Amino acid sequence: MSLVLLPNTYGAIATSLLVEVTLHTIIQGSLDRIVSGGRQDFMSAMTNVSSSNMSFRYGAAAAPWTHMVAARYDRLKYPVSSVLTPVVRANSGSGMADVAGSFDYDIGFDYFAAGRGQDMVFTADTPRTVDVAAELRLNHTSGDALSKQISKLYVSNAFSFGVEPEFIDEPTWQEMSDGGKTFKPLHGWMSYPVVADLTVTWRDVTRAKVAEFMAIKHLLRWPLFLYDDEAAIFPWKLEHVLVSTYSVECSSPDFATVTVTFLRLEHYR
Amino acid sequence: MFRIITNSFFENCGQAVMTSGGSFIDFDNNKTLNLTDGPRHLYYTSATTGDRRFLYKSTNAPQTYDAVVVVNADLHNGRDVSIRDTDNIGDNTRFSEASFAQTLVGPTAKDFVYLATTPHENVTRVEFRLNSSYIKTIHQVYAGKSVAVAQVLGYSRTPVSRLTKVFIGRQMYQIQERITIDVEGVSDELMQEIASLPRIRKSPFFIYDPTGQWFSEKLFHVVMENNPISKRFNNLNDLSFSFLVLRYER
Repeated sequence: MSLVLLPNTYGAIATSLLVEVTLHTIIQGSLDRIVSGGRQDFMSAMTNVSSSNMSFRYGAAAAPWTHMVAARYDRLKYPVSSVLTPVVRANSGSGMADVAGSFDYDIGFDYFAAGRGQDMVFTADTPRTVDVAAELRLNHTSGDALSKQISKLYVSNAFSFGVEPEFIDEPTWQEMSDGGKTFKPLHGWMSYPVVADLTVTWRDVTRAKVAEFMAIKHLLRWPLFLYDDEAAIFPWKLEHVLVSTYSVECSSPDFATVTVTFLRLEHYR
Repeated sequence: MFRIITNSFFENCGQAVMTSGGSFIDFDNNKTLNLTDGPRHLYYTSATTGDRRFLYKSTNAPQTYDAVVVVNADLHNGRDVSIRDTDNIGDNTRFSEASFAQTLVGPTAKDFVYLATTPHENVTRVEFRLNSSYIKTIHQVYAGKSVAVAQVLGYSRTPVSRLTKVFIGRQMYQIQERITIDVEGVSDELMQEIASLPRIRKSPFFIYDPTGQWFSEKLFHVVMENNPISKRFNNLNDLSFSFLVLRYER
């Protein structure tokens, strides 16, 4: 698969968001922090969890999705003696059931040269089409209690332009002077710390794909993820970004050139 | 090809009224002018659930029109909707659906366009009729003679900040994006036709791509940003329209 955009499809339409520990609902106050926002925002539980399961669940109107992204998944694994097994589940109308797919751990830009990224992506084996709920369940099997912290949980319907992006040279993120700045998205109200930018061009994009791209909910308001599952463009596979701006240039009714400028969000230890 | 649709019928006839069918409505008539112009969030609401007929009445010479645009027509889904007019022959029903279920257009797929195959001439009255029993919230209803612009070379689209706004006269408009459309080889006659569109620089209007040849959304509610004319030769003009699309929510 080529480079895809992973917006928080379920987050934009969710009718409920629950975090459960052994099926007892906990924490309501800070759940919005895992729907959108910067990497410095966390959902944080009052106490650690031991010997129990823990679920983050979105409830939404039936909507398609293909990926689940957990930002700062590394924080869920503290202390390191914790052993947890993630399971992705979904409800297509007859109750929650496991979703077949693959996990991609320790990816994302290695900002601190720690040798691994901070995020996790789950890819469903087949696109989900009629789910009304999707959840990430963490089965805590042994070890110390979990820290129960996570920055973002996205349930995404991946968007691809249908063509590979065009890079004349190796794509290079331009780091900002003085370590970064804050940026307020064109259609948003909240400012985000950002540290670098990258402009990507896709050529010969069909009219339908242009419309699909522009219809992504909160495209110019919420951060999204760039996922390169084959590490063909980004060795670290995943970028957590804002769309700064874009342009659509069209000199033929059928094909357009789409240029998007992405801003990399500030990372934290 | 795309079409420019202004509210030319209203601008040339000058009278917009709301009736219940038989009689002039005065108890909820005070916002009728919201339907003739202005930003998309302005509307009219009926005080009762009875029938409403929104009329453009010509007190001047008869008019020609070929397009009616209804903003936020999704508010009338499942209702009895019709478009009628009166010409020098008599009354005509141009569109009628007892349970409105048309495919809507625009970036949020909420607007309805009626486009006649040939313009309706000698018309003294255009009527947007809502017959079902419900409180009727109606946004802009435009009736006008559209101008077709062919020889489109291409376009570009860029988003703008949600804080971007323009003032036209005393009215502020929030802007969603900028669309630039390049056109070549436009005749002087068409140039004159575009220039003479009523209030083209003073009011919002629509650009409509009926077949979705260039834009999947087909319809945009816009204001003009620039003066697009550049003359190449006699009777041959190149245009670069810059439209500012009025704010819409996804």
